[in-house]
Amino acid sequence: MHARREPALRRRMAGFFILSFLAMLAAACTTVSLVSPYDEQTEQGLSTLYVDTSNFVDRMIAVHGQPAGTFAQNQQFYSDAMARVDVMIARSQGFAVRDTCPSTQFLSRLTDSLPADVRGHVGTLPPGDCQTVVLTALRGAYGDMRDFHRAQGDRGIPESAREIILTGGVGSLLRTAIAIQAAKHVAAQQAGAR
Amino acid sequence: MALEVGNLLQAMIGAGEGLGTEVWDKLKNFAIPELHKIAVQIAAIAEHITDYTPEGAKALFDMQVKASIGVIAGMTEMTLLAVQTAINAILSAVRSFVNGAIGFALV
Repeated sequence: MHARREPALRRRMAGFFILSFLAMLAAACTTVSLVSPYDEQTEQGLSTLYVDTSNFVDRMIAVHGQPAGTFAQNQQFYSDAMARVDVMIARSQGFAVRDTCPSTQFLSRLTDSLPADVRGHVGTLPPGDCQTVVLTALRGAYGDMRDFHRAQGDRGIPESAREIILTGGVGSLLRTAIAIQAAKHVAAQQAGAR
Repeated sequence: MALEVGNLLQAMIGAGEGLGTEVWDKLKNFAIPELHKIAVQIAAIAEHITDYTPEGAKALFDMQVKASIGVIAGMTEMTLLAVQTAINAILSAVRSFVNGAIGFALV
């Protein structure tokens, strides 16, 4: 009879140890944070910036080839846009829970093996967590848009550049940054509902 | 004290099983279409090259390269978010299981 009790005792002991392990695991890790939290201010700032950029491009196209459409007459837009993204970068860095982005580390190794002229187009990949990388790329894209406008001289921004800037380029980065905030917003709401 | 490990395993699997679907949905519905749009715009630069100065065209091209890097980094951020959500759901399942098995809120 004593021999029949032993397996049951062993099972109870094993169960106790598993339970203790799970309790320690759950107690040690209340929640895990791999990304920075949702930031309402950044989401609103990005949405407003998207509208302002779209309106600016349409206005520039309407007056291209005229003095009112030149870079010299409109450079304030770029200073303002880049300053607004700088604030978002600062907030992103402040809330960051990591200081690296796995994909840019990978891309960095990849670009190191490219010829120098190709590497020149890619440039130095931005540091920081992935959200900060996106925002830093956005700031850089506004710099490219400014360089484009300046290089165009009297031609200004032609109609053919609209989709290049707003569907690709700056527009793509704005949508990416907004999509990140939207995903974080949904995740935060779901976590709150649990 | 009932210790149904099978129930816990089901709860943990249930919490984590949406991860693959969510990552794939983000890739299919967001990253791939965005990269496609960028590729189309790179072709458009070449197509309308006479509209731009050489420096202007280079700036537009550099802008598309930055956008590509941004989309990949953005997809990575959303993947990390999905992993975070799955891990926390599993931890929550463990917590519920432990507290349920003990009969009071231990963790």
